[in-house]
Amino acid sequence: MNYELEFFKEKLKSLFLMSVELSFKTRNLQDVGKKLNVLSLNGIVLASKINGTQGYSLMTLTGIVSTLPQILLPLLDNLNENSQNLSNTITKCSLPLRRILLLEDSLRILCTRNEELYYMNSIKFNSFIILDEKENIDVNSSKVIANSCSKIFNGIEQVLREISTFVSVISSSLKELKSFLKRVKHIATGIVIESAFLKENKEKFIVLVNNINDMMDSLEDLMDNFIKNINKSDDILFDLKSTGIKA
Amino acid sequence: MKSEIIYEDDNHKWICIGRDIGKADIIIDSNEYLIISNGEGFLLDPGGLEIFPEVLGEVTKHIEPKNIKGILSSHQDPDIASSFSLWFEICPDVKIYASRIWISFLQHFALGTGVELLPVPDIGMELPIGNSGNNIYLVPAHYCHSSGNFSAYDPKADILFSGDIGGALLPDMDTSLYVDNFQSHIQYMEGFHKRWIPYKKPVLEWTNRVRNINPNLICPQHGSIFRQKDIEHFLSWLENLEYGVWDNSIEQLDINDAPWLKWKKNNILL
Repeated sequence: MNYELEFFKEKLKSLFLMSVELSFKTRNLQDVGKKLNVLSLNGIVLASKINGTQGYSLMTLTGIVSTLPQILLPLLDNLNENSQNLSNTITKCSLPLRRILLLEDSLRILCTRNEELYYMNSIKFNSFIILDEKENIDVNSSKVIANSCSKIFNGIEQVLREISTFVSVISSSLKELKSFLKRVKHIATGIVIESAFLKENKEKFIVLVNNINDMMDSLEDLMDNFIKNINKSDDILFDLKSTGIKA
Repeated sequence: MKSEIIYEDDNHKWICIGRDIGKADIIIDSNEYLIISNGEGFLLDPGGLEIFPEVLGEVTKHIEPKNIKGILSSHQDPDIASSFSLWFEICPDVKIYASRIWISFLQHFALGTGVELLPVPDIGMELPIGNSGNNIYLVPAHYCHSSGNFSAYDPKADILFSGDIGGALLPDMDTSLYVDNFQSHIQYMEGFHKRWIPYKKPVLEWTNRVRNINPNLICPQHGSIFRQKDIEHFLSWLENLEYGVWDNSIEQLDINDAPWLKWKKNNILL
């Protein structure tokens, strides 16, 4: 099997595995929104027990936290849907690629046995297509096979463009999620500051904020991991597009 | 893989492609047949995906892909049919035929090409070899072994393609393309026929059809070709064989020791 096509196949496989992981993990993230909701309700209950100005400001801050799941959930849904679409789109490449691999093997057989084709590189399909039609079955057959490979490859390139679109959409979603996490952490810091002067229930607010921060930290780690994978996907896509198979 | 001309006159020939020494041992060896009539080609059971490059390599020793006009898939097995979408890819005018009962199953081998198979009715049909003026005739062979199965008769060459009937699992790839000694060939056919063909009645119907056709050669999809001198031996052997035989050692077991019942009992006890 040709090295370039084998490389192409392996890269596509790793891209697919990454997208499956992304889609699986984003599905599990739905729980984070629910947990954040429960934490914010706890905060509202705690704040409602405090009298005076500090009570008002803590009520306002925990109230803001309680609205965050409504922002977070659609972001996660969106990420989940796009990563699912990404996996589905990548699988579209697998059948045409299988066809190309088998047709290219046939082309190689013709190149091996025919002296006119012996020095051709079977992976560069276009170089066969421009051959003159002759009274030679091998030459004419190689043109037909290379033409089919080239057409299939055009289809794969179209799918690669779709994959690129999904990768950039997912990349923006991840950036949006990261900035959301920063906002939550700022609000949590505000709660810590406002509760610092409380005589009672101070520890309960610290536990609440620690819980929120722990959740956001693990989400951030996950997002960082996703961003790393998406950047890797971009590199893989670049490699796939630049194999120069058609040249 | 080799290709050998088994019939030739001025403008009509049969080529048998097979004996693939390059394939992995785990893949069953198969014979693919190419008919070329007045420059137009017809493939009988073009083979599985895994051997497509080698089969195409042999086919292009004889004809350009664009001149292949028809393909028959005698039944649904992957070793005979799974490559049809690739043939469709490179043969622009090809028509691909299979039993009407297998069409929607075989479409799972389409590999995204958009190919649509043409259904053959149970009774069989006449298929043109492109515009050559010659035809092949599909002869019902249902339940031998597949429930939707056809043999193909070419009156011009007087050859019957029998698909899996008469198929043999040969010990090595150097075995002659033709059956040389029928009695010693039986050992390579027997296991397959006993296990894969479910019962005798359809076999008797098929041998009756073949006796009426009385072909000069019978070409199976696995193993070796039967020449005229061996055809009567072969048909008689088929008529006297026991079918639907499997490893029934389970029948000698106490039914309560059968694995599936054991599993249920263990789970109920838990």
